[in-house]
Amino acid sequence: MTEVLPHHENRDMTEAGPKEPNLACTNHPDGAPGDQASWLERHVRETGIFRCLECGKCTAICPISQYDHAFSPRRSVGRALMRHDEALLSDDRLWACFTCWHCSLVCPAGVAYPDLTLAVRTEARRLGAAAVCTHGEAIHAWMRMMMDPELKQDRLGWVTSSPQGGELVTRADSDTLYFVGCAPYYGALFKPLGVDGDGIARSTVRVLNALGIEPQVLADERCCGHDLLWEGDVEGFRTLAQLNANLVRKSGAKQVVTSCPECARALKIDYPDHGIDLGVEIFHLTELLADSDWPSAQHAAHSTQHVSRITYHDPCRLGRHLGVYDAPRQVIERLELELAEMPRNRGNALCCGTNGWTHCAIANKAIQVERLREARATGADLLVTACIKCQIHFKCAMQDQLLGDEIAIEIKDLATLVAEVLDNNEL
Amino acid sequence: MVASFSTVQPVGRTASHQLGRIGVFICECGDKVAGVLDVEFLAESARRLPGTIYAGHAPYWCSADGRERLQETIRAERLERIVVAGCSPRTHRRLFQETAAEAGVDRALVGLVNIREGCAWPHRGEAGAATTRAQAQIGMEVVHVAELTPRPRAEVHITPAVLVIGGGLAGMTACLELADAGVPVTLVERAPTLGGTAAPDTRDLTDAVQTHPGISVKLNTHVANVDGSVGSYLVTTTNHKMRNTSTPRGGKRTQHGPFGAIIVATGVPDQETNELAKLLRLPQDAQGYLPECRIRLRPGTYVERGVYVCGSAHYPCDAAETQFQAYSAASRALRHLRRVKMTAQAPVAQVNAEKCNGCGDCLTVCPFAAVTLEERLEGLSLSVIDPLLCTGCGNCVSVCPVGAVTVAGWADSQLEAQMRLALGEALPQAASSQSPVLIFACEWSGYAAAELAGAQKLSYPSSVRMIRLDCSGRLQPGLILKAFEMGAAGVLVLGCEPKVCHYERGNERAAAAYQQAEAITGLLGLPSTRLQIAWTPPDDGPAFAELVTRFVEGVEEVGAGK
Repeated sequence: MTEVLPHHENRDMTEAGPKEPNLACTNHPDGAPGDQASWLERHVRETGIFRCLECGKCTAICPISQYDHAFSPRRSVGRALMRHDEALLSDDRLWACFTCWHCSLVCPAGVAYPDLTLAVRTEARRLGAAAVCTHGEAIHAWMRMMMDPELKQDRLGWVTSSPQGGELVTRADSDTLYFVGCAPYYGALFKPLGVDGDGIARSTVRVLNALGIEPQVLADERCCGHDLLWEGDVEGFRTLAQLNANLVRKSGAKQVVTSCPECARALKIDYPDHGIDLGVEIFHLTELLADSDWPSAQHAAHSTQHVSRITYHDPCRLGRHLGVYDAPRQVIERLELELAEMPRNRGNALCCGTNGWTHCAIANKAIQVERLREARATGADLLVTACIKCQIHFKCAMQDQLLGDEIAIEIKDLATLVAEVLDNNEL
Repeated sequence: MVASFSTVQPVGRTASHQLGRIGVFICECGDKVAGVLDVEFLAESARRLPGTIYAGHAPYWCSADGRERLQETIRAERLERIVVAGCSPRTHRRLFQETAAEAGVDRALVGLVNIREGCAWPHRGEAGAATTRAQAQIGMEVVHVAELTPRPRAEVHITPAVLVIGGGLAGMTACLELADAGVPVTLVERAPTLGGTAAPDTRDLTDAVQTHPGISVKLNTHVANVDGSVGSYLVTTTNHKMRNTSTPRGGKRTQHGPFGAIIVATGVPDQETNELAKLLRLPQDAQGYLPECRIRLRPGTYVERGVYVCGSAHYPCDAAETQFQAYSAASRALRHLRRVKMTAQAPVAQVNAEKCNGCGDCLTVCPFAAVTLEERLEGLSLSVIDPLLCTGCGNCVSVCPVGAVTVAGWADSQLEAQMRLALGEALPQAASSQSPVLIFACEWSGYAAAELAGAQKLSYPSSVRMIRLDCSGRLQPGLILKAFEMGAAGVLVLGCEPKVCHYERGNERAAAAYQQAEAITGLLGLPSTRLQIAWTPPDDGPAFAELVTRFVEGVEEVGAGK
């Protein structure tokens, strides 16, 4: 398997292509003023999706396509090349794509299909159409409410003690800022599923403390905007991004660490793409952990009690989007736990089955069940992932009344696991 | 100053609601309404609502003359939907539905909004504000009606045959009652003989049952499975005396039915009673008895499943009581069979099969066991809702994580359209004390109390906008958060008191949804005085007025403190 470049490094490949495509229908390469040389025209030209070979590898690998035959990345790219913008905009599966990046990974021509999806969604939204998001749209409601600069959240209640009762230390003038993301909010909404958002946040601080870092946390932190961006709400995303950028700059921090891969992707890739520069380095927690010295656990296997074998699920945003595959594995190795890889891992990992809360139906569930079966087949006692959303979606799938036992497996965030090991070993 | 409407365009969403030809009929109610509200203004502003092509006011739309004029207007303007703004929907809904139906308007497309007890009377001290509120409430009912769809009619034939489970005193008594009335009866008994716990004193009954040509007796037989649905139950039995070597469990399995009614007379509960209760989806109390299984919708109206319990399976009975219960069960079964047909009554929940991911949350929450899970591909399931058992309470809609189920009339889009209109004049960024307070009131508690308070001429702040729900359990956290996102100054949720929820336990669902919303609004830093849930009795007008007044005061204090 060839070395896979993460998404943002792949971009150079597309920019290397010719700027002026040899297409008969283009009269004005740069688009005359007032010309509707539309959003689609611009997108096709600027991203080089005209290189599509129509080979269909994207659709073959696409997990949604396997269960929902009407979903076809190849057909959508084909429509884009034919400039069938109406068909793209009115596609009722527009909101179904997970933007998991698997298609682009296997594409021999460097076509970034998720970017096309993003462009279509942005235009659709501009024209007044929008996804009807899941969970009664509760999630997007709070994200939009965070756009209000006057909002004074009360979001630091989780900063109490570490999961096992030890001390958590934060410092307002720290060089490291812990960007928490919506974990406390997800914890509130998905408490019935057993998702402990506060626990992940606490564990992250506990782990950072063990690295000798006493991070600062923002009382006014806003949602990173990742979900609003991917549902085409560029304005909303920019508003949130700007608010966060102001806060980060004012904080004086030199680096930002987060335990959510979607926040990491947004801060690292999307903010600069939209001209918002935080001026600091961004890390996912696993990257810091893999790079740093931290107290290693003796007899770690005993301290995690009943767990002897674990398996790890690569979140799409951490893996394919950011190229971080090794760091989480190095962390697991340090914990001295037996890692049983699922057959589809790293760049080949199956997505957790939904993204951005824009769409969830039978195909999504089928994918989640498939992935959980894969996890169970490894014989692992514990499924570890590094994304709170993956955890939410898997736990939701496990609620199924008929399948329950067949797909049930304990799930933990890697931050939680590390914190537990540290606490159990009093490190 | 009285606010004017902005066009109701959903923010960032394609307008998908049907803007049928809507007529708004504003009732002056003599001068009971017209004396407080500016009906001319209301008619004029209603005319500007989307889809509304007629808006007029008259002294009494409910009078014979008024109704005739209403029908003439429907025909002349070719109206497809109407809204009557006057007195209580609870007293006048049927009248206007019939009136409109005679003129060709689908019953389901008739909306009523109370601007008398609802607006004119409680706010008669502030005429301008009362008119503003009425204007908003009328607009909300119009956008609600605009999104309604004609209700699908589900009709089912009730098979004239009865299954009696249990051949003791209760079961045999019921058998004879029904068979003598000409109904074919199948009697299933697990023992090798009839008689039950009262044997041998039941010898005469046993003889009568065994010789009656209309009763088919199956001894040594257990009920293994119940399939089918209301009106045609299919029951699989096993006979453990007759072995069938092809089935590993032994015992010959036979399918019986269809039956229009099932009578459970299994006597004092044991393990098998638990299994039977699960098959028939009957509730059990702590000791295993099968209590009253009638589902009360409104006084005298029940969801009739055709399943009846009598004798000691119901509660410990002596012989006389047992027989009386058996007579009663047989009588009710007979009445059920004589209906011949059943049609779905309330607006019902419908599942979008493409969206449903088979999680089964709806099955767990449904108070009426109207949901079953059907297997489809690869072990995944599809939720199927029986329209005859569904009461339209909407708890399933609230709990569905993917929005696969809707209740026609109470879809999210409609509630949001109402909210948007109610809050349209408020600025989203600065929810000041001038912004309206949204009240989600269930029809059987808060809404009834509101009408009573108005009828009693009690006053409460006019800055409230009421959204009527069939059940408070319809609410999900997202709707409450949306209300704040849209600029509501406060949100008040009113539901039935514990244990007296009109839909069995919808208020429990409401409480759970509220808790989640409360946790999230807490994180968002919204002062807790801006969100409240209360269990209001329908018959206490002063309590309602006091509750709302204090809530609005609390909201305004917070606004002033900003």
